[in-house]
Amino acid sequence: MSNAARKEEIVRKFLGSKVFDFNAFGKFVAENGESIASSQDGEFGFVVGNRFIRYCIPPVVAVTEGIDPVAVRTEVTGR
Amino acid sequence: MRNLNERKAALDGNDGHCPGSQDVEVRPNLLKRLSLALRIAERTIQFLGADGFDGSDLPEGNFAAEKPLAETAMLLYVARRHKSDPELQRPFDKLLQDLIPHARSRQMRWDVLRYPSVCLQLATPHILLGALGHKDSDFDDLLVQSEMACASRGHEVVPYRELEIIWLRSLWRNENPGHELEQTALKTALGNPIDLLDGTRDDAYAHTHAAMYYTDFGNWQRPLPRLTEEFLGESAAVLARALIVEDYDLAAEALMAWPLTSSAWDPTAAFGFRVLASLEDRVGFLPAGRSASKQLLQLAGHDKTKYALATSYHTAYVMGMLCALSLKPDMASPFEIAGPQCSMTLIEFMHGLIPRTGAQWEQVFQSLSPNEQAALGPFLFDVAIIQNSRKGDAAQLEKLLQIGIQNGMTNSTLCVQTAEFLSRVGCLVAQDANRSR
Repeated sequence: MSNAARKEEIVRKFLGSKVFDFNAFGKFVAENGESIASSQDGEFGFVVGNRFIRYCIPPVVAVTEGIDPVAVRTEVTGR
Repeated sequence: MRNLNERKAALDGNDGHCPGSQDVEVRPNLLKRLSLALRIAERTIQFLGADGFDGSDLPEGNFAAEKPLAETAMLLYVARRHKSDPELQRPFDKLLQDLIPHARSRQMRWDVLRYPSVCLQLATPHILLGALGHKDSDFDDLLVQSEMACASRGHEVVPYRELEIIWLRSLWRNENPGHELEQTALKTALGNPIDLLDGTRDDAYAHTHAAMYYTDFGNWQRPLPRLTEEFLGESAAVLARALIVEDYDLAAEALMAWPLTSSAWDPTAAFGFRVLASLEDRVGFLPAGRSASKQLLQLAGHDKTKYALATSYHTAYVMGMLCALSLKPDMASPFEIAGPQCSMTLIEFMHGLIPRTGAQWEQVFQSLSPNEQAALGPFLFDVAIIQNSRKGDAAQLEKLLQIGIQNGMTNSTLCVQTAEFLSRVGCLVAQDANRSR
């Protein structure tokens, strides 16, 4: 069996197993709140470590008050 | 395998191979974008090459000069195969000459001898300049002494950074990397998939960087530890996620996977390239994200320029590298979105499942022809899964897998990870229900 077929088989087996119960999940979320299942807050996490580990990785910048980057074209490109 | 000097001659266009097998309209377009990156690099060295960036009171924080110096050297290293092109010759040579005094400054010499455990990383600009034909034996002597110091193995690194060190040592010694490279690659994202649903940004960068070092930025054509298609499927998911959150730096790095592995662009990758190119055309350079910080408007003169460059240069470099790699003779046009077609009913259905956020990809998707849109079923499927995973909508994820099975789209790592996640959720929910009985 090829790797692609094996992957499809895993998905097919999961769906066939009926291990995921819509009703039970709905009850679970209702009891625990929607935030338990959401992952938006941790989007891509944060880069940690010393300066050497940061080579080639720009910092994550949370722009609270943003401007169109077109405004800095001249500063960046010199034109 | 040819030795390093032979490979460099080939890359410099001295082996009789005729470059320019690409479309007459595509090649100038890519060269123009690469030239823009070199121009931005010239300014980066001018403003940040001596002291780096002091932004201790800003969210961007500080970085020492060694960071832009190393990245500028990498840009030149990747661009070198096109340096004889008339559009690039002058900016390439100018940037190279600007970089040399900074790369081998007294401070850099001091740092290399003072910190033996990271001496190769610190010497990145020196090593890459050497690979570009600009050697310096005095600097080499210092580096040899640091490399031989008993503390030189004293800084532990994660496996993809280990690949980087093997790559740098190999270039420095002008030797082919040995078995160590393959063994280390097994421990990286080249050997094992990252968590495509909930992995960190570090994980995503580990995925993109491992391919850069393992292939010497596309120069070493050695087999990956697993099927290239499997790795590229994961790159497509990283790309989709980066386009959703408008992290264009990561998007451009994810796209490099195709030329690094000399693989034909698939519709998702070509679409990603179109998104980045359209944004670069609109803004004048490829920005890191949708917005720049308003703090910039409070600055003036040198400070403003330094801030703008410090927050923008990296993404502009990555776009330049991506274009340089896309110019490889064996690569087709990265702009052409062509592949197996999904029915428009399915495309519209999946498109309807994706919440609109105003991201650049949404506008570019709307501008495509029906044939191009129809080739983007796998991309929309990935986006729908990632968006619903972010929302925590497990029920919708399960429905998506059903749709995927019906349409032959579940043979990806992302789908396997989604099925595994839902299985775990099912287990937790069942345990919870048992406890409350």
